[in-house]
Amino acid sequence: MSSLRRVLPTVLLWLAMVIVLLGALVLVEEAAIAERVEWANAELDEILEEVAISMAFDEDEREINLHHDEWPSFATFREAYVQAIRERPITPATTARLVLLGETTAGPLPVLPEQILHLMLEETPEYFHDRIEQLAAIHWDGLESDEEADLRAPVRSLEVFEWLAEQEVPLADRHECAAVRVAGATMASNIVELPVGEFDHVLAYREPFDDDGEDDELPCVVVRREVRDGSVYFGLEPPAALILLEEIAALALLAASLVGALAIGLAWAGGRRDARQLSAVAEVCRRAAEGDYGARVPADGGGALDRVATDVNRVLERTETLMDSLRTMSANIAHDLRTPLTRLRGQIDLLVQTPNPEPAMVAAVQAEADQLLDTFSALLRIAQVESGSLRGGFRDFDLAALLRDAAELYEPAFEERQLSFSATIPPGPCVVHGDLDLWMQSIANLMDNVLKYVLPGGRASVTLLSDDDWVTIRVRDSGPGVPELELDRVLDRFYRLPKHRGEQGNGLGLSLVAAVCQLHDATLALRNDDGLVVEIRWPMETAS
Amino acid sequence: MRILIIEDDPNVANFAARGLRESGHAVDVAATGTEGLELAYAARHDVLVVDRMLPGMDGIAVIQALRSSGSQVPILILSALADVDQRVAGLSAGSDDYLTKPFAFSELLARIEALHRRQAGSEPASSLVVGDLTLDRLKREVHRGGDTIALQPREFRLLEYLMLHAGQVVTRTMLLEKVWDYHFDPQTNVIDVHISRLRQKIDREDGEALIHTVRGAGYIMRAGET
Repeated sequence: MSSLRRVLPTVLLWLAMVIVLLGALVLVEEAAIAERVEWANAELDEILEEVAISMAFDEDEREINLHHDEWPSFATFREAYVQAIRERPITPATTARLVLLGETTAGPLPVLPEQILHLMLEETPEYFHDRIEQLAAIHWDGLESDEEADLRAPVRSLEVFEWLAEQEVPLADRHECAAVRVAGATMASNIVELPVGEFDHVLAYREPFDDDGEDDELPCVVVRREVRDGSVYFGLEPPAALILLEEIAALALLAASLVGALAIGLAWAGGRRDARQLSAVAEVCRRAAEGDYGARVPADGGGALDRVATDVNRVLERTETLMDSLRTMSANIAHDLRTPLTRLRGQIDLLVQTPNPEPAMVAAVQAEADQLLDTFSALLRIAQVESGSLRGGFRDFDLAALLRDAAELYEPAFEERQLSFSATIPPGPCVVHGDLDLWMQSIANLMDNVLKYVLPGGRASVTLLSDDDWVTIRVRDSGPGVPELELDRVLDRFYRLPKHRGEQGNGLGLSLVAAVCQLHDATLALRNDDGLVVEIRWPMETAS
Repeated sequence: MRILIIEDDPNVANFAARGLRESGHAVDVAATGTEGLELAYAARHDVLVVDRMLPGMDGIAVIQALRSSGSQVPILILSALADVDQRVAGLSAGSDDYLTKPFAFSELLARIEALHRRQAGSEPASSLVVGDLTLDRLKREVHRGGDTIALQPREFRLLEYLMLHAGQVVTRTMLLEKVWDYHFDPQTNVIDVHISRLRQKIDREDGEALIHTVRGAGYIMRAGET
């Protein structure tokens, strides 16, 4: 059910969009139609000013024109027609046009008024008499008058009907449609399904022009005017824009539905994926709480929780690293401190057994204990540095001044051991951002190593270089260096080169330097080059 | 000296108390901040040793309470927290010195005695005298037996510090902090060499040695010994 809640906003949004779209469409449509209706009514008024209905015989252009004031009763029309054909009988050569509504003509006429046919039969029987072949019954359509009985007779001339229908009748203006009903019967019409009943305007369809299929039924906005004994219909094609708009709206609605369905689908799928990812995070955290830090959350689902998953993974990685280093460190401490502790214990035992111990003996025990204390402090320091918690204590300080101070501090010691020492530090400050004391300790550790391992007569130097990209500290000596194979391991805690085991010191010096470099995002590299070269490179963007 | 130790770890407290008593001082011990504050108000102490992390009221709060009540007693903070921020916080709360655990007892003793000396004497003199060695702090001159001794600036500072704490043990760590302004542990005897150079300059072959080494602790400047 929670995924339903998740998709609900999307659904509501989609619904709102659709409603807005439909509402806009309806409004526009109404406006366009109202405009057309107004136009159609105006045109109809104009048309009805003129000739309502006329028949034209094209040979001599005789015309029967009936003004709409004389409008039809059928009787009137019949009289006029009879009059017309009495003056000149219809022959097969005669072509007739039924012109409706003056300029606007409707045709070709799919429905020929039955009454006219009947008239023709009556008045010009000679012509039609021979042509009675197959009979087709044409049903009267809604004729309501007393003459119904008389007039209701099978019309025998389907051919005439068709013949007349085939006559050239000027085509209606493409944009228009029209129809005429007299006494309840449709006299002429090119409107499909002519609407009857009460209406102000209606959307109807115009007949296609011809049978070759070029034209389709087109929509028309049709208005109606009541005239004597009948009604006249007139319609205008809706604005092309409206048709276009309707098509666009239909497309838009379809598109909106598709998009909506897609969005809902995605939201639902996303919801499920998010829920899955959250469970994964919870599971991983539970395992971590139980001590398994190796588990990770899948973080490539593409959802919003990927960020969370990545962060959780980072935390777990860090914890794993810390736990591992803690384990290793504990093991190392236990292993490497056992010897000095055992030694100290031995010395104390000896001291206890000696009745009048020499001050030197007591001092030696004290010194051993102090050495152990120093070792523990150094270990703690390294652990502190590695945990990263000291970043909060970073300050701006002058690295050049620090190196100068270190050089000055160590110079007498170098001299005492007959080591020549040089410091190449550019004048002026070199301001960096970090922990002053850690750096001093690191430099001191490097100097201590020189003092311990370089034989009298040797050389040592410390150099500071700084350019736009790097700050470089280099400590080099002319001592024995570090065997190539040991270069990797020499940074490990408690690691002493085999030949130096047992000497003063605790083997933690370089470990601290490595930890300090890592804390400050600097690199530490050792290499042999006529002695040992220790190079620390600090990229400027983290150094300052 | 009467010393008050406020420390909740009984091992550290006993270790420090016993050592201080054996050095001839009277020691009171409290295990919580509240108890310590009561004892501090109840009796006059010469130096306070306060652990930073105490149950209930912590060390900083104790110091702030004492200072705001007008007490000027020198206070040394003991703490396992060694980074700069913590040290600064401790000192700005009103303490006078800061020692991180683990520490050597000799270091603790030396610092306590230095604090006491600083307090007991009012204005440090502009001229320091040990035996026939005089150091003029304003003129930056050193004389012994009528002769002028030329010293490098650092050597001068070193001698000045030793003489300011004449008769007290000064540890190597204290020297690094006060003379060189750094907090770190050298593994080699860098300080010793500076001291021996200084000795060469101020001790003549026929004159008495004024700078003495105290094994396992540090140095002491004192006349009246050979």
